[in-house]
Amino acid sequence: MRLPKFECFYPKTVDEACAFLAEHKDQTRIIAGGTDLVVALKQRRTLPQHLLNLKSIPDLSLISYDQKTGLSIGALATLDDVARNPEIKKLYPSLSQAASRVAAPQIRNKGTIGGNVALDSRCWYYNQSEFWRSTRPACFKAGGDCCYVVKGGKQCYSLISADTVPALITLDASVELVSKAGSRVVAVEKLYTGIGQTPNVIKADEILTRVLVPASSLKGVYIKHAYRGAIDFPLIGVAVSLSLNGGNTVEDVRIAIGAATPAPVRAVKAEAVLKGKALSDELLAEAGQVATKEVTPIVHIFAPVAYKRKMVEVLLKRAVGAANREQGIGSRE
Amino acid sequence: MKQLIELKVNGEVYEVAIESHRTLLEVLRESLGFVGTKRGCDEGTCGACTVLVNGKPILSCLMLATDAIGAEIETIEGQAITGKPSPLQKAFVDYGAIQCGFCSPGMILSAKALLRENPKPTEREIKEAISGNLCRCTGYIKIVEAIKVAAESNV
Amino acid sequence: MGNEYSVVGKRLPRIDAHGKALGQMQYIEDIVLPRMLCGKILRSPLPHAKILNIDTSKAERLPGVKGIVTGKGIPRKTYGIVPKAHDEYALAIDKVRYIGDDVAAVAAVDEDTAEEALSLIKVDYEPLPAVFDPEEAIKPGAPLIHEEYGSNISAKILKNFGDIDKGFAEADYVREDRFYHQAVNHAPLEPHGAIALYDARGKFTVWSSTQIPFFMRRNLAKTLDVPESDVRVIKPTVGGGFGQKLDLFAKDFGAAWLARQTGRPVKIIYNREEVFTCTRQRHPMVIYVKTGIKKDGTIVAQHCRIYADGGAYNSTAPLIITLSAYFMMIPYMIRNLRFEGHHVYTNKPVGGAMRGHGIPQVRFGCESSLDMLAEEAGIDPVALRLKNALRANEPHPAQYKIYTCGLSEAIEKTAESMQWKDRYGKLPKGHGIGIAASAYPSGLNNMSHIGAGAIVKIQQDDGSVTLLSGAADIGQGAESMLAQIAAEVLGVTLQEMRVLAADTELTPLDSGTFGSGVTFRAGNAARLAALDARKQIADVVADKLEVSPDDLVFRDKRVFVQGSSDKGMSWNEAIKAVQYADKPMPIVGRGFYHVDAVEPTTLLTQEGNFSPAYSFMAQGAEVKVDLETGQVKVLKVTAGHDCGFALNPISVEGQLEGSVAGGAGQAIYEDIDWDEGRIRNTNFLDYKMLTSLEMPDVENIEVITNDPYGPFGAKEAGEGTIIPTAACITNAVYNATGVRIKELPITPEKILKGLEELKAKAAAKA
Repeated sequence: MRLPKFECFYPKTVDEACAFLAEHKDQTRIIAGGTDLVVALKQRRTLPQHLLNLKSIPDLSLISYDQKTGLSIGALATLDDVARNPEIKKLYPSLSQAASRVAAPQIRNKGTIGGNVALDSRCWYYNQSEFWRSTRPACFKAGGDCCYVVKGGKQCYSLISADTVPALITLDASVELVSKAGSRVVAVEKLYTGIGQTPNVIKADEILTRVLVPASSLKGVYIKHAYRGAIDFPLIGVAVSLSLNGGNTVEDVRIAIGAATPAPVRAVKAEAVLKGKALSDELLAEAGQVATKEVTPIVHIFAPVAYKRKMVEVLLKRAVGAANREQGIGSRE
Repeated sequence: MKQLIELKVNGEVYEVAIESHRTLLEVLRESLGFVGTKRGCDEGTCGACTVLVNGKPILSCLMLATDAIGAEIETIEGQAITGKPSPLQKAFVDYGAIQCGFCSPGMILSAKALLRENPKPTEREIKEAISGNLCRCTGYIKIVEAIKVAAESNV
Repeated sequence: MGNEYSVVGKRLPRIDAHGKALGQMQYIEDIVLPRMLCGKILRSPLPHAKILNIDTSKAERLPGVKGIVTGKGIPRKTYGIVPKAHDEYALAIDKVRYIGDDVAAVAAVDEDTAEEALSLIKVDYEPLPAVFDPEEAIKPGAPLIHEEYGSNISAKILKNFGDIDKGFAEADYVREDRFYHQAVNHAPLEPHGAIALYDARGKFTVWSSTQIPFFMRRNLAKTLDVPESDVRVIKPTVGGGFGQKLDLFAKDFGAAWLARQTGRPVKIIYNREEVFTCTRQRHPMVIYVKTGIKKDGTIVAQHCRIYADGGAYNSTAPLIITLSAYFMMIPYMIRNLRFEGHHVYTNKPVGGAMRGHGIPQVRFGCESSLDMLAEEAGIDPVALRLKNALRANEPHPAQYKIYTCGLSEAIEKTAESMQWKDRYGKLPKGHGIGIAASAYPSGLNNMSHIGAGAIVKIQQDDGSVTLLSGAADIGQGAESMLAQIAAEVLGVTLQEMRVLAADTELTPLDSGTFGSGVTFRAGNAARLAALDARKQIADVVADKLEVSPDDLVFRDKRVFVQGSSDKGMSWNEAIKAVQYADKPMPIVGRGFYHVDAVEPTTLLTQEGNFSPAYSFMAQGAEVKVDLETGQVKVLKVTAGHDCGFALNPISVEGQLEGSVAGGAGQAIYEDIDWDEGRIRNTNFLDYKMLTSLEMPDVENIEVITNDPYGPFGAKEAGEGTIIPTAACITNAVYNATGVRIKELPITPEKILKGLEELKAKAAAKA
């Protein structure tokens, strides 16, 4: 599969990039690692005239930690860098786990944290070749007016399946978005719209430059439920951050569920069930059941809604349990 | 519009005129003749096109060729030492790790990157390192064995 | 055994492994010819439609486009595998029958231009009603996919042995179940491709990633409407096939046609989506199995009715359902048996040969059926299988000639190694073991190309040996196997051997890589050719040594007199002796192997031996099931395997391990997912073959039976071994969870659903 023709612009600075984008935003796609965009281009899902290639901007891949201000990850830091960074491993284990579970080693060596956070939503009717999509009328995401996943649906129900996103939400992380007009910081939790056509709130003239994680974040775990130990996107990804009051009473907890729904879900009701209570199997089961009601999963190619719902319950229980043990339990099983 | 770029492959610098929309895989195979780098899926899921860029395994089908300017690129053709297989390649040969051979170049490069960084990997670490390289012939067992043997013989 | 041979039976590296390790072997896409054009295929976006008109004028005007061909411009010649069932045009004429069907081929100066040209071809279709489910397709009134058949059942076979009614009447336990085996893709890592050259003398040279060069030549000549002698097919290094590279495809025909049309070489390489959609897949199959056993476990009757979903064309039908039938009658002794097979057209991608070809499906049903009956009857599954296992040289109800059979030994050793007696039914919930068995032919007696030839040429100056064989190495190690056989016979090492293979112009006729006949046919041919060459040398050496040629031994690069190893000479001295003999002749040995012509059966006869030898295998799986998520982890597969004699143990193990990887993938993940004839997972992200992380441990238990007709006792190895894997995993999952999976793959969701049903049943009881 050949790439469509485009020109690739390599800016030297963020300012230069913003200026380019201000001028060409409607005909430009930003490329970082390219592991998602290159496939989209090959499949002709997007046909930009320009690629704005952030690779040439120095320092955009720096990872730094400060006890007061917390963690700053340049958008161009690779997922492998994030997974292996000793401070992230120690202080933000759920993020390290999530990054280490994305796809496969080669993808993590190229794919970036910024790309993962800004990952386009996915669907088995849209992430297909141009030929495949040509065999039936266009869906919402392809500019048409129907959804093949939710029949009769009034919008696109494609899924945000990025592994790092639930972890970042439970870490209270935010992203820095820079444009010619200035910059703004948006919480990762507020970044996604739940509408597949326009899955996030990043504007066409904005560049995601950094991911910021507060120093005060609670430690947690990320559990990826996927068919295989590599290559797959998650069927469900659950992140939990937790602090305990003395014994095993939950002081604070944040729970996020990814890949189940068009936008990742913060399971606030399940959090409320847990807060202030002593952890027990019964409590975990209750929180799991509450969480399943907070999520309306979209069907997976190999798993019906009921199975995904059930997995929300099981994984939440496991993730809270694992967070409680304060171990970054691998989730290869 | 074509531009003249330089790519450093296996320690040698090559000048090549390309358009912006060329992948590293296309340029390696079609412009420079490094056909040992295989095109298996062309969409970043099989690992056959794995090459090392600055020591790290990446998928050349997903990399813009212009992104590789200034980088050290290693392909399977650069692995043999004056035409003789490297110890890792030899282990692949001797331990039956190669059947159809189509995944072998990518597999060997993933293994090479692992051993460079971690000369004594555990079996689990080996399996993790090649988890992005699909093989339909061998069931991976002899590949893992070969990498283990190469590690033990100190590549 | 160890010292009997010097080359065969040894753990030697393959002769092509160095080149592959260094990235030097040339696969189809690696070959570049001067002024070569790039070809692409235009495909049908509709599952079923009449082609009203194709307008190529815009595409023709695109600069860089050099040639276009559509169905309108080609001979009305069909092709296929089984001669009487040819039903496919090289490019669609009149009608398209599945999404992806080949409509036109273009050749242009580069890939970008070729792709653009496709988008400029305008095809007017008249959509027709489509049918996607085989059981729907056979109902009256279903849309007809090939009108000339008058039905969507393209092939039907009925086989009857014994008295099925009497058998079931004698049974103490009878059950009937419906099973479903999903569609599976071969997924060789190398996509399919072809390059064609048309020369000034009007002859075609076609390089193709094919498993059967001679079949390819026949089908190409037929579709191009030229004599076979005008077509030369060369197989370059091939990156896996597993049956998917058996057929002719539009890329082969398109490259050849456009090479003639343009006067320039044309290359067409499929992308991964085309490999998934437009080549072949394992037939999805509905399988009804009714089995009756006596209290002591004797199988008294079995009735099997299958519907193989062939998709839009026949490809290997009716062979596929014939093989399904053959393997009802083996590996167990079943005296009363009925098989009803249907090959059904649907508007879907086409079913074809895939490792095991029609047999994994029925054996999954039969092996599951046996385990269910064993439980009802309170018989151990291993004991049940041993009770019914075929034995060598027993009279067989279907007149199979089974000269060697290591099935009982394979079952016993597998069970023993798994500690079956101590563990079966005694493991904690979620942890279980299961067993299944199968057999496989070593080539078929009933195909048109049932023989294979070989030529051994010995260089008179340096004693190096060139073996010419038509056998197609697609990664399984055929060339290395042939080299080992010839080297053993001649008493040289692999270092002296060079194999030149799979070129229809240079190498003798060969049936190609299918039905696991390569070792048996081509291996025997290589042995005979080497013997012929050896005799030519022996005659001269014997003269010199004043002994009888029959007393000479060729071994370890020496030729010497049996019993007195110092009386002899080196290999090179022997070759020199030939060269300096009176009237020296080039040393060329010839060999041809074909199965005994008295025995062959046809596809439709009731009785007869259909293979010169049968391999047997028993496999045991150990699984762990996560009872909350339903995920299955296959921990280990123990495989007892009678391949006669392992010509190269590393290769045999490699085949086995690869089989287990494929079989385990088919058991738990791999599934072609359809949406009205579209495959939704034409990629390795959602077509989930095992990665290194899911691969189970494999224990290989060799059972040696030394087949009297196999080369050095060898039989088939590596295709049949994929058959019992999914079945034994399914049985192990039942043992672990109590959930009986009747539809593959074993998804986590099915496990959870099954567990819930068990819970509800238990609650209802209480």
